[in-house]
Amino acid sequence: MLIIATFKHSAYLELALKLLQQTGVSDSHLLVAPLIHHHDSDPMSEVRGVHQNGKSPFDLAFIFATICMLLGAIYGFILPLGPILWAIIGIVVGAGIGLFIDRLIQKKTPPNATDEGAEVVVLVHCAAGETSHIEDILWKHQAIGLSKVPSYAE
Amino acid sequence: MAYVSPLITNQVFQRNPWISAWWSAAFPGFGHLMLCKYLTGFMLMGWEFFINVKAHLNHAIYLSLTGHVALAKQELDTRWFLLYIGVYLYAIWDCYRITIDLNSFALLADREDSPILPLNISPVEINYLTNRNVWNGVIWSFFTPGLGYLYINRLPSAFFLLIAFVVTAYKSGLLLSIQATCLGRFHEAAGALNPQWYLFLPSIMGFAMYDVYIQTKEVNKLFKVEQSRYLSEKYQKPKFTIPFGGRL
Repeated sequence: MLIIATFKHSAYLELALKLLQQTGVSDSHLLVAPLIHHHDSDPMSEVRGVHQNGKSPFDLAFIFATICMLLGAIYGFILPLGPILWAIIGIVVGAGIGLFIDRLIQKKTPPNATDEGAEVVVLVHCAAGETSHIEDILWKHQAIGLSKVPSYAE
Repeated sequence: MAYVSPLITNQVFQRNPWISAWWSAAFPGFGHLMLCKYLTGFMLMGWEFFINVKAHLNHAIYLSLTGHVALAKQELDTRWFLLYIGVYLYAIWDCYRITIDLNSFALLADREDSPILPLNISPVEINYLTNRNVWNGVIWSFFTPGLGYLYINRLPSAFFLLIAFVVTAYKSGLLLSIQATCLGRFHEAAGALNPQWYLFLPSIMGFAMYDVYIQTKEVNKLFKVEQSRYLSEKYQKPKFTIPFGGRL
């Protein structure tokens, strides 16, 4: 029986693997394959920071939040609600503007999935009787998904 | 390319040079802190506090934007004001060019395999790599700038940002103003604040939150890279057998 499970990177993954080895899965029956995610890369544009693999979605939100907080702080002195409240309003409005602009910009570049899903694949080759025990360990350590492939030609 | 020490996890990674330049424009020195250049950053931050207070620059900005331009002209101390310009523009430009340089180093480092320490225990401090939640750090940094850095174990930044925030909060009368606002006495809230110091706050808070956000994301990436390497080395033995008669 071949058990294939996917995980995200975490300390739980290493704990699960240690536990598997302690309960008798030998080195020749355990394989771990960390996944590399594909990124388009053009070296010059990466140096100039133009392409950030579609990530950093919140940069503009923070920048606009700071600017609007500053404006809120200044105008809060003359507006009715006072500088503190206007500064907080500024943060919220600024973050909103930043997120909005980010969404507009991201429509131009193809949207990359921000959640990359599974990051490590674990393969365990075991006898039919041990599967429930091993499955249990893997689920308890936050496996994303698990598959049992029965081996007919063993 | 990273240095995991008990005090800090210093990393070189790719970023947008305009963003670093912008944060330097918001407050000279912050851009350098983002790039892990602490000594330069601290010097520039100290200078910024000093020159801004001496020249009454924030107060003048406040007066100009609220329409009292003539008062603003009187407020600026012309013995100090022009000194601001050289260092300010230098800081922005310096951040921009350093970011580009470090970007190329980061690209080179990606192709090497320099060792990464997952856990560093020293007599006085422990630092370790793990998956951290980005928003935890940001929210703590909102309540008190500098706390987010403790979450990701960047102690020099934490120390300096905390001091900067506490000094600014005290000198500006921030807490009095918060209390007045909560009690609904908005006029008193405005009166309690010193605009010269209060206008430092948006930059300090914005930067603290943003830097913690970015650094946490990058440290998480570092954790994943380190774990991938470790797992590949340890759990990919040539004698692995696949039940369908195959062998690695």
